[in-house]
Amino acid sequence: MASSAETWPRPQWYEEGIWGWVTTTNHKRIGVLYLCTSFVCFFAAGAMAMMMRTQLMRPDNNFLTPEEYNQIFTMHGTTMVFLFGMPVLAGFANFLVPLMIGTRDMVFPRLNAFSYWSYLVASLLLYSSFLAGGAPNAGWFSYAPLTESPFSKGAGMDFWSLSIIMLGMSSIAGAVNILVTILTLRAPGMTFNRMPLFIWATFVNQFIILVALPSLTAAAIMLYLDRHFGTAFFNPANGGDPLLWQHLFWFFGHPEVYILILPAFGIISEVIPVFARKPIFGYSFIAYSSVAIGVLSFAVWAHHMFAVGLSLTAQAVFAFTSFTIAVPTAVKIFNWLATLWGGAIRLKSPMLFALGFIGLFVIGGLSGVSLAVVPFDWQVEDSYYVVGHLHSVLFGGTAFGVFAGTYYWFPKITGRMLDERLGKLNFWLLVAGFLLAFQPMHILGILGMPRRIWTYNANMGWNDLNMVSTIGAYIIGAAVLAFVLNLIITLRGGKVAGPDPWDGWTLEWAAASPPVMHNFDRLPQVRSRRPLWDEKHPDKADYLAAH
Amino acid sequence: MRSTTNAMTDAIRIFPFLAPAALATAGCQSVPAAIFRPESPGATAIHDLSIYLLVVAGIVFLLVEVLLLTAVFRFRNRPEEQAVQTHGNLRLETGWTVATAIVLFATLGLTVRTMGEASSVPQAALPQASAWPGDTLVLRVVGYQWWWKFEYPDSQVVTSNEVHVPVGRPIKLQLESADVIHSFWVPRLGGKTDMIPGQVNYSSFLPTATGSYEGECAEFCGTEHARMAFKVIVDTPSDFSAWVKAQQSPGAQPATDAQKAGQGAFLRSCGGCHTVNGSAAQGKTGPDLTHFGSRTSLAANTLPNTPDNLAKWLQDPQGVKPGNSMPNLKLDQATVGQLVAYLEKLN
Repeated sequence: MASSAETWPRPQWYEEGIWGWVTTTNHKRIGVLYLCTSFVCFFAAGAMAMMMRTQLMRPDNNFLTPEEYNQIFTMHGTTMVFLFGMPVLAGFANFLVPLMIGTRDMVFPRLNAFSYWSYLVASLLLYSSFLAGGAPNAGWFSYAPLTESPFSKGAGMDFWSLSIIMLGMSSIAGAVNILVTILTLRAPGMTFNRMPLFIWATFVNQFIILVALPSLTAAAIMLYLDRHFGTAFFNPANGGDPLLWQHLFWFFGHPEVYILILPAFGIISEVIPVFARKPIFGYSFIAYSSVAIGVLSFAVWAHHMFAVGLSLTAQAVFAFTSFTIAVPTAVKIFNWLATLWGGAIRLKSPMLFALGFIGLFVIGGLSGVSLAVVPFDWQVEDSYYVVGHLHSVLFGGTAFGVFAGTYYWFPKITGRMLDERLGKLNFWLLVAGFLLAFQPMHILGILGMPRRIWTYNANMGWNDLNMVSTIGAYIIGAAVLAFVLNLIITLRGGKVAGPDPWDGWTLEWAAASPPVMHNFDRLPQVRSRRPLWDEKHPDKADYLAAH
Repeated sequence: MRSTTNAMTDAIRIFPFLAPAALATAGCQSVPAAIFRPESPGATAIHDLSIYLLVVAGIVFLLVEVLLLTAVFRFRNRPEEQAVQTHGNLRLETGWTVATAIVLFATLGLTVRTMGEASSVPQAALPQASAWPGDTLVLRVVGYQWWWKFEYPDSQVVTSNEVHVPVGRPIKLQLESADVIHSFWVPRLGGKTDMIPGQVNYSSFLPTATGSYEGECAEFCGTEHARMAFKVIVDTPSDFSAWVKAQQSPGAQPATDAQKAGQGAFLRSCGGCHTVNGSAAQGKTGPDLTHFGSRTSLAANTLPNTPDNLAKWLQDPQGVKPGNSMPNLKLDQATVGQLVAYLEKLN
């Protein structure tokens, strides 16, 4: 396709040089910075996953030493959770929240810049540990006392705890900013009940961050004090309690799963209606089930601790809460299916990823319920079953949601359409890779393979499934290459999108693509949940029918 | 209790789509640590529950995938005007919310019931001897980076990385750690329990068939977490008594010249860390080797215990199990041969 730079409206915020990007407080630029940085981290953590799968391809393999493997799996997990998962969703929230609620910017623009830059510095700090004699090597969960100085002598754990403290402050500041923005800057007419579902999900999400992250940040500070200032919070040799770390960590850690999945639910709830050409089925159920998940997520943490010797009564209580939180999650799946039913489905790439999300996330959802079944958990806890489960949730869910959102909003962010054919290639490779890489892991756990092992004996019956899983990981690598290729081709001269390429219904599609500095020259009137539908179909407008 | 195969066959008769799961179960028969080959009442109860989970999850999975694919194929590329502009249906939504809750809470009921079956003694009573049947065998297990110490308080036997228990008697596990958190897991005999420094955890199992069972450390515990495995050997009662008797005796005295030279080398190079009862070697840092020759594996189940493998281990412990605490002692070929002769004699 011919280069169309002349018809591509480049707004001022795109054009200013490096200094403009460094000093910016504009939500769109900060959003783009978040998205770019987090995708770089995604590629780094993905490369580390390839290295792990190469090591585990065969029994008794020596591609990596145990020390290298332990550093790599720690950095892979820490990066995917803290440097990709949370920031990529923060990037979408930054770019989209002001546009979707119809305002000019975030309420605290400079705090917004602070959040981004502390995230970047924390990322660089964490990765500089490779140069300073060794990366952290105790897993993203960093269980004490393995992380205490007698057992972890290098500086890796110090880099880990300091960057976690910075990331905690970055996320908490971001949460305050987004919450207040949504509470105070919504366009006239946009009541809570008319907010897009992505905004609902983001709102609940930032609330969870605000309550959960202080627990992790405090724990990281305590760990640092233990290591350097002679305290003994977690070290039993001096009267501390290793389980205190686990309680503090999982009080953050399980809500973290919802921090990573709720915005993906929000993205799916935007994409599916537009490409099924129907309103979302059961808006209130989806919105309120997010709220239910947000509240319940703080009452399930000990299901990560069924093997530590809690009383059976306590375990039964946490099983109960864990089953309860499965209800609002399952309900959303049925709402999305009902949205598709009777629609006029357009199978464009954003929609493919959204449909893939439903079809694949359900695997992780179901294996997640099985982990709340306490005796079953006694068997598969800390086995490859859990690795299969968490990747089914975070890859089948969060990653597919992020890809759906990227293909959906890329035209809004850059003004250009990602290529459809490469998008489809990206999608199908990702589905095949997902199934081959992560589903054998569920079986490997049932066959008794523990997590976090750098190698295994040939006679355990795990060889073939590990080989399949490694092949799947390479296919995921190929899918990501197709995505990168798509980005490069599109940015060098992709089709110009125009303001509303998908015939969307929420306010961001009323802005130019990319939006001008102040976002809207003209703001549509918000009289229902689909203000642009109302404008396009005044005779069938949503506000004409009560719902 | 129903056997694995019967439960599976019944399940497949009702739900043919479980055939792949059946294949997996059949495949399990050669996998040494599969939870689908239970050999204790606790592990069997969990196994039966997991078949139920597989069936229910399979049904829900199929339901969602069929609805998803049907919707996509039926409604794709239709003219936009045909899309029905409905916003929801309260009765339908309440219906599937209640249905989901019913399935989930039925599963919760089974969960709680199986918790009782899988742990035959109430947990609060675990430390008290009176709560246990009279023939209970107590086994103290201590985790070290990266090996296992097993103590039998009743018979004063101490061994490492390979433990014998009699079939048909309840085994009470007293689980501790000497350094970081480990986790005791023998998949075919039951669920795992963490071993946490500064606290004592209890668990139990009742082996129902003789044989050798693979055990693993299930909690990440540092560099060689992968090479921290062990074996549980379930003996007939008479074999077990004989084994205990043999373990209570001091280590065998060297007979040949090579063995005697090996003992000398052992006292010089190894006795600071390892114990061999009946000799001057009384080190406590590493595993007790009094009856090393009677074990089937070495280096925490890393290699089968053969003279060749033992020689390989002695020459280059860091090559066999990188990061473990045993240094390369730079032993010459002849000394390695003597040590092998001595150690393999310690049966």
